[in-house]
Amino acid sequence: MKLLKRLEVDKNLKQYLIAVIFILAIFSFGVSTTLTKGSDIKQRVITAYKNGRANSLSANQLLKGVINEFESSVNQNFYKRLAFVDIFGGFQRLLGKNVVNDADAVNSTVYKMKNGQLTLSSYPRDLTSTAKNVVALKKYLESKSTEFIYVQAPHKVSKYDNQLPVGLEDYNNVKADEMLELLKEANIRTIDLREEIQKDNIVHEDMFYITDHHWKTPAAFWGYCKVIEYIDKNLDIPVSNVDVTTDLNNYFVEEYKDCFLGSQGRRVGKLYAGVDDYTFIHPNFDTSYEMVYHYSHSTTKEFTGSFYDVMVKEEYLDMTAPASTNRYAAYLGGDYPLLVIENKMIDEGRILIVQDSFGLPFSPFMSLNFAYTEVFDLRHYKDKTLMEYLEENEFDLVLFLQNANNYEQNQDGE
Amino acid sequence: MLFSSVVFIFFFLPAVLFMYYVPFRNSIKLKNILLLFASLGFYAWGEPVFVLIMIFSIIFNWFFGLLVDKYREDKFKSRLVISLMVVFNLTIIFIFKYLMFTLENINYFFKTNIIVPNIALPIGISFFTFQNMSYVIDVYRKDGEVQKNPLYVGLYISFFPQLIAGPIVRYQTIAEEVNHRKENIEDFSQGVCRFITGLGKKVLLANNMALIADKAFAMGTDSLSVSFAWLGVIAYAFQIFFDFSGYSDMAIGLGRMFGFHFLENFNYPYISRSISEFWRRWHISLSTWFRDYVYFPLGGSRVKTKKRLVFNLFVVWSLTGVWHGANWTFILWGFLYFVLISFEKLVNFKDRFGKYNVLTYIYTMFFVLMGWVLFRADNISHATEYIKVMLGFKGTSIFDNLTILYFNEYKYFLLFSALCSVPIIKWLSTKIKNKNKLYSFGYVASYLIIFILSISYIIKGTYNPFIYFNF
Repeated sequence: MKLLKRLEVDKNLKQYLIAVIFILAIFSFGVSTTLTKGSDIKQRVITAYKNGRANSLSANQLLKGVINEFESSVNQNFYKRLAFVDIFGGFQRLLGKNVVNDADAVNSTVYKMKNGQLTLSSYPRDLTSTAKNVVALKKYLESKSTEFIYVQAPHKVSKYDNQLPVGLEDYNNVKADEMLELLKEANIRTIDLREEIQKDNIVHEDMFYITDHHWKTPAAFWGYCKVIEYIDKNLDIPVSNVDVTTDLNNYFVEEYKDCFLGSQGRRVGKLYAGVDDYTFIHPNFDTSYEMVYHYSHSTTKEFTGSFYDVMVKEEYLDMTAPASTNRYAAYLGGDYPLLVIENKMIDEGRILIVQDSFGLPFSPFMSLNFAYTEVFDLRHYKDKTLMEYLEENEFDLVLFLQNANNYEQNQDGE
Repeated sequence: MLFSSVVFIFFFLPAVLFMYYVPFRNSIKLKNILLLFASLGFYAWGEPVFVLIMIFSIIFNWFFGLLVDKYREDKFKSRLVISLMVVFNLTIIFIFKYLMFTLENINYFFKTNIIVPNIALPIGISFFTFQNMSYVIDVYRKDGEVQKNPLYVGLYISFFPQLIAGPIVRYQTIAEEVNHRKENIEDFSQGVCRFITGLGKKVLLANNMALIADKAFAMGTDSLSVSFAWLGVIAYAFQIFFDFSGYSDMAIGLGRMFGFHFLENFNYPYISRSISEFWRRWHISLSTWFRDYVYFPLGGSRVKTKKRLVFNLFVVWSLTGVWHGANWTFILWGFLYFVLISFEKLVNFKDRFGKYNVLTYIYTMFFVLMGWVLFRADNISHATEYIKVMLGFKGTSIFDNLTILYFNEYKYFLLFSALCSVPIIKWLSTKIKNKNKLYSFGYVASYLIIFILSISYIIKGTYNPFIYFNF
């Protein structure tokens, strides 16, 4: 009490208190970071050094590279980092901010839409050359009598009800429209899931997570149903068990509450926009698979068993793990250069899905209807071009599933 | 290494403080050596090669100091040493900072084809060069004892708190403290509070204002609305003030933590009612450096003719502009202030117009903002077009959604920036007579909140521009 009384009148004492807290804070957080993450930081620095030496960098460049890596890894491994990100996000919310900037201002600025969902900034891009590549691919596939469909995944910002704050533009839907227009002019089969959402009178925001840019599992399942029904109805290729696989009653639907802080949420913390629920859907009917994950050119791993055994990565469903765990990766575990899925309960049908991350909860369901489903990610597969891969392998159908965030200039098709 | 970084706040600073106050606490010599090597390491962290330039410069200036002290009674020799010192230091800064600009302009104006080498600019070269010169001149003028120990000269010049962004510390300010200083808890605590204040200014205010300013100045002027142009330059005025003064606060605070007392570098410049007053409040260490080492030796204001006065002002303000960077925009910026200050001196501005508070304030802030457009723009053409937009001469829209968006997003930052630009908090504090528990709690809580929020911004990884790359 005496101390509190003195605090009232003695300015110096107030400053001493601040100094003591400051010193305790800078020492304790520095030491804690070193003790808890020192080895991770050290490993990253050593890796950066070895990579620098391997790339024959000059001494100055090598040193600067190592220093930058040290600073970056210290930041990312800082003790209680997530708590500080939460404080930051809470402060942004208190200020009513709808635009949360990042050190990487171009790619990582987060917008909060009027419906409370988060999205990332987007920029205009000329897709003429990308479309040309896709058209060239289609012509090649025609020559091999292989069917080709381009599926436009829905985008989090609705084309018909733009929820962005005044002054912000969305270019992703514009890019998607332009791309589809160019493809239609070349008579390519397209499925625009954005339009299907409108036709089915679905509430657009229900399809997406609040804090992640991806679609929810039920939305991906709905998208799968749309696509497989289209294929079954319009293409002359073997498709099995559509009636069974498109009936949600034939699946376990597990719902987990307040357990998922998505990619955008991890940039701004839990307090900014909350935390998502997560729904996990998997078959309740018998399945049997052999699956090869191609992690890189030389590293593969095989899995055998049911849909759950081969497709599901249980660590992402561990609800004791923090919300920052990437629940979306529960299907397949993430993006890989190539996955080869053999459905042993089906005799025919071979498809190639060229996808981005929107394919994670989509392609597993597609594999229920074909003997072989291969999943190819243009962003990660570097061993050969897509065209070279197609020259070496025969498919009944090649299906592109792309979300508008991911249009790249150099999609292979030539 | 930046002050507003995790590595500095949670690793470098605690390590140096620990070594300073624990094993080396009883030896001023060891403390100084620690600070010197910590400072060299601090600089080398960002400039692993250029640290050698700084060491080279320190050694030569130490030697010049010894010479000027030895020959101080011999007018010719001492002036020769001073001249050599000036030439040496200006040559270094010329090569790294102005050579490319000079050659490019020679090629442009004289249609020559001289090869322009690509020379990187060592961070802080303008600051440590001026400190080097200050050391030798102050020794010559007997404003400070010569340092026989080169390590102590090295400490003065490279001391990490003021190395990369000032303030320009005059040797006379800390000469005594290098050898004899007494750290105490009051200074240390005040230093911590000052550091936190500076950190908040830089991270919470300056970095957020930078987002508006960078957007406005990156846009093509054909699509820039009048309102957003004004918002952009006002944001830039806040950005540069809080970035610079924030860094100065952190430098002063850090100095205090180690027992050094640097002079103030900013004194609420945005309350000025004349350009002359503005420059008595803005970057005080630079303006006083030029005043004491250039203006006064030329005769200052106490000259016989107005022509000579104008000439003296021209020299000082040309050098001030050039010091800020090798670009015509900085030269024109300096020239703008030369014109305004000459005008004020010649018309006896303060006596004649001093009573018109509002008008003189508007006049001052208008030209300061115009000056900031020049300062921030990529080139003179860009600055001209930007000013045309501001004045409505470019025919772009008056108001747009972008202004609404940015104003809404940053309204609280703009408000706090405006409040912190004037001494209102200081004034309020003096008015509160009954400083009770609530006040005490608020006082301590404010600092801690500023610190925690600043750290949260740093750790999250928000936009953190370093604007002193020209210096």
